[in-house]
Amino acid sequence: MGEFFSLERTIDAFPKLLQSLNVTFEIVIVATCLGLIFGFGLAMIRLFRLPVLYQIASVYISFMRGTPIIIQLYVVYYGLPMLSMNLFGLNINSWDKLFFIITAFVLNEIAFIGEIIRGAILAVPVSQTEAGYSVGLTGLQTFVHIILPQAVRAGLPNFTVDLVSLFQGTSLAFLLGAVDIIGRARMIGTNTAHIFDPYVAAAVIFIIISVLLEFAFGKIQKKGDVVYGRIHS
Amino acid sequence: MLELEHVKKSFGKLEVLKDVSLSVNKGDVVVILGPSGSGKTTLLRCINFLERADEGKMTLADQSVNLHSATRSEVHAARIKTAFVFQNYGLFRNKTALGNVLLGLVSARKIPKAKAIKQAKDTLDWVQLQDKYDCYPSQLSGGQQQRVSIARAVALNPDVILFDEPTSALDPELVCETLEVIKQVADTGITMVVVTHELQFAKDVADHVVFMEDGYVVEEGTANEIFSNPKEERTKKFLSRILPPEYSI
Amino acid sequence: MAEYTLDTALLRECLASGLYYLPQTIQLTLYSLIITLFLGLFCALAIYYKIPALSQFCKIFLTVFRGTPMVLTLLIVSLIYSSNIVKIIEYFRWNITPADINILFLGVLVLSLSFLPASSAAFLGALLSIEKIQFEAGLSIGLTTPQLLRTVIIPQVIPTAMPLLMNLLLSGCKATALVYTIGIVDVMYGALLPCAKYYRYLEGYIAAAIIFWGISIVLNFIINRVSHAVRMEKIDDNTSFNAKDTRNIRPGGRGYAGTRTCEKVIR
Repeated sequence: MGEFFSLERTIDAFPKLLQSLNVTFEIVIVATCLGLIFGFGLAMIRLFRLPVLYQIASVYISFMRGTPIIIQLYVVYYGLPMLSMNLFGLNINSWDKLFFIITAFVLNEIAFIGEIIRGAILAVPVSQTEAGYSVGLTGLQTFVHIILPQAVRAGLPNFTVDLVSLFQGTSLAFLLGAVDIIGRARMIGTNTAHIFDPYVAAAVIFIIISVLLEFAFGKIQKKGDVVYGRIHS
Repeated sequence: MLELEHVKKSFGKLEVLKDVSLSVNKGDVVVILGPSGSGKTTLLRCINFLERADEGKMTLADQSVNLHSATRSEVHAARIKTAFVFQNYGLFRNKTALGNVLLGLVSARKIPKAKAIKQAKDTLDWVQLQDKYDCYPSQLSGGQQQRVSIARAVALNPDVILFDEPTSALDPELVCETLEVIKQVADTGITMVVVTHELQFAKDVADHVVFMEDGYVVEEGTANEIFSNPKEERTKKFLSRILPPEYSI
Repeated sequence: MAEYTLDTALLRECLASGLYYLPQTIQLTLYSLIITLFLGLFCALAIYYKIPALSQFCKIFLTVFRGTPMVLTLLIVSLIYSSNIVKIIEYFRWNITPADINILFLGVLVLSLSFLPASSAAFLGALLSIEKIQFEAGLSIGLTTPQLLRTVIIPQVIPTAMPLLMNLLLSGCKATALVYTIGIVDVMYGALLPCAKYYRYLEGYIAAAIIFWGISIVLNFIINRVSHAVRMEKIDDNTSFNAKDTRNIRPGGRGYAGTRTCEKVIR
């Protein structure tokens, strides 16, 4: 296997791969932030059943959660220029590929995080809302002081899973030509004629970061458990 | 102090309150008795608009509202004037005992923080929870949680306190101490409406007893009148089922 | 792109072509799920009973596949395969060429390994939620551990693990879309076939999206029915904040929301 796999080459590849980590992080951070903001709006639409928006939101969520992310990537990549040309007469073919990739992930995250938020808010028992009203708080006050903190706690496990899966999902960006970790691995492969080693190095990086993420959020959850006790009503 | 006229409420096809009228004088302790499904809890929840009645008029502290068509500000006003003690305590799980009592004072009634903290601590001391200020509900026993809930209601200084089966979720040995605290509350002279199954408590504390069945008020009177001399057949049947043997009807 | 309008004729062609290969996708999903269920249960039991060496191995194995994106696993596995298949054929002296082999099995392999963390988590969670007394009662009446597992524990584990496994079914089906990158013939491959003629890929991907969307809607429907049949509480769409919507709130104060569970979201 010496020709095929060499530990030395694998370790060699690490620093080069880590250089491309910023692309991955960029995608994750932008997608998560915008996902939280608009996902919250989406959750509110669904929870309050606002007339027309509810139906649109439901269809949107069904599509985003029902189709594979790889297809969404390509549809955005090929479809957005066409859409922008038809709607605005704007030719965006030459825009950076990363723009399309991030857009696709943002759209996807909005749907997923929206559902996570909705589930988390629904997981807080109605009795908490009633208690808030009975004490004289307005709906908004009840939501901010009582529901929201408990919803965050309830939604944290799901959010962690989603975050890790987003992080791993960015690995598809190389298919569209972005130079993220895997893209860089392939570059190294073509340069050195040994592609297996950088792949293994990339896998190790992914594993380490995923484990770190899960560990960090696990700690946060444990802290919440100590303070609030187990929330099972 | 509190007057309910011709309250009706249905849940879908189920008519829970068919025509209920109730009158509560200031300083009275009114106990509502009745079998499950009689609508007692629903009636209570209509008062502070946790349920929206289909029909009926309520006069609370000289202000009349229509229970069905009350505006948001009227609902809010009613909630400010009342306090509710839930069967399952209804404590905010993400707040400490002190925080639970404080929230209504600071956010809903805009009492300045320092004054509110003192008021909250005094009330918690009054229910014998002086060393539990910073405990979360999950760290308290059922009886302690209910006492925090009562403290929260009292601290808000409402016109009426509504108790929804306050001891039904407690272990038997804790029921007594909680009833003691509720008696303590009654001694302060505040108006109370209590839904309960604890008949001895009703005898000891109630100024007025109301028996409800099937969505109607069947009979009402003083505790003595109801327990020793019930007029209605249905009242007699209900009491004979749950009274201890020394009360032979 | 030369044109900026959707070529509906091409779209229909891609749809038809994609649907033609639907059985392949279904096979991929089914085989990999069945394998992953067995492997997942095995790993969960190994970890639960803390079997020395085996449980550590499973834990490491699971961590590797939980941390590695499926596309990377695909690349690595296909690389190992293509580099060594010739040697393997020579070694076993089979009378075939590499082109004769249907690499569907590679897809099934990678898929089942990628699903393993989720399925073993589902089973492990269910195992841990079963009270000790179930085990103790079974052992006290003289059952051996295999009997205990077969007759008492696993029948309780399966309904408990159902929600997570249903999630796995949904996300597993979507995951099969990736295997076309190593050359497996499935819906994606089919939907993109007509595109090669005209160099227009958008219609192909849209067709694939429609097909997968349809699959997910059907699967969701089936899962909802099964869940109702097995009486599992889940967050349904009949919940809202509207106070006027009192049909969800019954007298006594226990709103509907108190009985809800939070589903785990797997992409």
